[in-house]
Amino acid sequence: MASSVAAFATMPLVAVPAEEPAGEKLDEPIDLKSLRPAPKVRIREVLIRRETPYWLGWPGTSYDLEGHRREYEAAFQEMAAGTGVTLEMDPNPIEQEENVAGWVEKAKADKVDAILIHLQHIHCWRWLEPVKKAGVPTIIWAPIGTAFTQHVRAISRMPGIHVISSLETGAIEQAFRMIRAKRQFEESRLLVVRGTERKEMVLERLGTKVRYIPRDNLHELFHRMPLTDEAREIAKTAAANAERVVEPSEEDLLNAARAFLTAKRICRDEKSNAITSDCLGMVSSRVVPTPPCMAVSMFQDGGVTYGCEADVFGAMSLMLTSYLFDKPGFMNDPVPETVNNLLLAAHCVCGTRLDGFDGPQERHVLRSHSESDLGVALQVLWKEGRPCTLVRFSNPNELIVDTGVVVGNQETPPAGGCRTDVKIQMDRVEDSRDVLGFHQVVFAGNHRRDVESFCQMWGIKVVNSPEKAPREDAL
Amino acid sequence: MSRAVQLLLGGAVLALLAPTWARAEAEIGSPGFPPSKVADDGALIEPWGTIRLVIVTPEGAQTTGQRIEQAPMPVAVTRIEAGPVALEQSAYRAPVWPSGVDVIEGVLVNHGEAAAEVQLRVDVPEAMEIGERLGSLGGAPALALPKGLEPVREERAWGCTGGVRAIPGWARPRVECDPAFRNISAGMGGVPITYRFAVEPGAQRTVVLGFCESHHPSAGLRPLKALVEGTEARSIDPVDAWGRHGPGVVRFDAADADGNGRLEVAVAPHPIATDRNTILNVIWVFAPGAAVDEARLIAGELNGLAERYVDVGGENDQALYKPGDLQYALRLGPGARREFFFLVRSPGAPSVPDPSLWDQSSLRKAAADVWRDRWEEVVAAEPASE
Repeated sequence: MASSVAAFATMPLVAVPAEEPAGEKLDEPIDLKSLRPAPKVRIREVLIRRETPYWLGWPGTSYDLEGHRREYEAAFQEMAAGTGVTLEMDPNPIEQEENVAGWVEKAKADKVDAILIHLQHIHCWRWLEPVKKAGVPTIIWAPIGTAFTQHVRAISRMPGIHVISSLETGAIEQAFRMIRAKRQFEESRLLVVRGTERKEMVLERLGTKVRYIPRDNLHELFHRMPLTDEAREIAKTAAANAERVVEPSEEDLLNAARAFLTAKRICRDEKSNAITSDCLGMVSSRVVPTPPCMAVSMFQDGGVTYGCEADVFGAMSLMLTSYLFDKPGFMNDPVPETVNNLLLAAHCVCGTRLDGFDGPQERHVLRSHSESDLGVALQVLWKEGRPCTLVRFSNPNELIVDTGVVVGNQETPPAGGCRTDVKIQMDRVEDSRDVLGFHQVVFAGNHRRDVESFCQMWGIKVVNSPEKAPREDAL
Repeated sequence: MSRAVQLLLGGAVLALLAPTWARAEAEIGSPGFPPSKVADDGALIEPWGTIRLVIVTPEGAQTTGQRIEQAPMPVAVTRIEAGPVALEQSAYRAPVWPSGVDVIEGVLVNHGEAAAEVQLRVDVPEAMEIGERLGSLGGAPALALPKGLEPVREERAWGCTGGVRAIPGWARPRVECDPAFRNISAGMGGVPITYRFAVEPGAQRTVVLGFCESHHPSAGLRPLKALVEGTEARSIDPVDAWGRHGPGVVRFDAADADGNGRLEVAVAPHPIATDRNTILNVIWVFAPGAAVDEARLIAGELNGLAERYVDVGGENDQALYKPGDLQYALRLGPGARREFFFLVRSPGAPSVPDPSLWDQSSLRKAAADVWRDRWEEVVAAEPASE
């Protein structure tokens, strides 16, 4: 390896670590997970029911009230632990309508992040009027047997309220993530590396801080970043985990690993939890010998967003999949394939742990960044038949949401473009040319309803690509 | 633009503002953005003009103090007292995306033992047009008015309630038609375009709205909702109805349903619209039951028969409210307090953010978050003198 590095030092795009400023300690390891925001999230739970014992009225006299209470409360606790939520369970059920308002007002005054109402009688829905008016984010768990359609039709579509009328307790976990994700957005600082200015703003609704720093900061840090043992280990592991290494050399792998260390370091120094950089600008102006594609993939797999091309809302869309689903997203360029009416999601920066940060890696090949034929980029081979979801924030108040199914992967060559190139058969979009947005983020699973629920909870408008192709005479 | 030119222009602006600038003492801002000045009477001085809060009554208002707080952002707190009434105004920069906004928070308190009638005046630049919720200069929003505080102001016989942007020449009608079809007002970000017309209370009128969509090629992208008083809300998709660049009209048998002597006509975004920016080209108001030939109307041959003909976003258009300073009348009981805030366009910003997306708490948090983790400014060393 040492000889390879020496050989690399003679190349035109040499990355020779510059002299380290005093006290910079660039070889200090940084745990990637430490960059992920871990805010305290408080959800207060209460059981609402009529006075027991019941006589008629759903869920019925035969329903084991205390047994199911214990069962679901145990599930709530498990889901809370799994999502990092602090669940404050009220030991006293509310059995009188007039006590609901006071309980909600107390929760509001205590500034909890959300309330969870476990409903145990079908006649208690009308008790929830104070909940609707309180303006506290609310999750309502109504196990089957406590609601008809008429009970949930309106309330379940109200902003700030999420109704789960089901026996699937996994939906509670997703609801907790919905609350946690908002807090993570609020606690996040997105670092945008581009241009020459330093400035910082805060996004409305989501509360995310967006800090711009001059592009020079990143590539200058990269050139100072030493070749550490951590970098060598990263390069070795990346090669070992891939099915094949096609274009990249050892030097490329080591530089890609140094780009990863550089990105971690600059995030920590800038008190940031996510990053997006003018990567193409740095490559085209040849100030770095490698685009950061491999580092980007590693960030996504570690639960920390690294977006491409300094696209703020592309990065925010990546943060959405990371925070709301604990899954990496794949920010891409949308390409229409008009013969088979497919959408190809193409970029060089896909994560590999598509089913979740703790899950296995998807099959992948180490390639070069296609446009420049430099560095290391991952060609991730998505399993055929995988349902997937596409999201894209147009702005903090509007999100494009579509879904589809993976039907294959496009090789480059023969295609040009980008290394990971996922073929998607879109749902509910007649013609793939009409898929809205650019730099959408694709992630595994059909999460259309989960994303819609998140948007409803936080007042974000959902936009879908048009189901019908436009009329010819309108063109 | 070179740095030198920017400095020269900045100097020119300062020279124009010299009388007020001389009184400026405090500076508010956010890291990475040019600051604004706060005068010793609390007036906020922006490159485009000055916003000043004045207590008119009780009489004898005096500025009794000003201090700079680090909260951790710099906040200029100015206290004005008039008899038993005190106004404490806090000015700071909230670094909201994308360009920041200056905030003036006001707290009016009646320290007296009797109720107080308070008249508050907000001095604005002479050229500022004040709409329902926004003050604009040259069509660009510069001042967002506080929620829950209704100004006392004079209305014209008809006009737009504001908050929209006039864009003359935006549309390109594909057929010969009334020239008003070339112009629009646009409600950016989903702002409804609203007009009011004075009529006898409870009166009926025939209202016709004219549209020409020249941006979107396809139907379904910018459908609109027409809300004409006394009629059912109606969905209109100009591209679906008349095609791209196609001028078209929609007729309504309107009535002053609430009997307030004002006929309200609005165009709002349709709930399914992908593009929520509203547009409107023409309004005609005719006598009730008027026979309106659509082809002749589109050709501009019936304008003379209309009671009102509005070239929306064009020359024959006007704001509903007369320009001038804002006046507020409040009654404060003994010990009562009233809080409010204005959003003011900061230097370099194109607009003010939608105030419905922010409250005092989130604005202050945004500022504090940025200042708490701010970076160290690198100050260039002075060159050593020979």
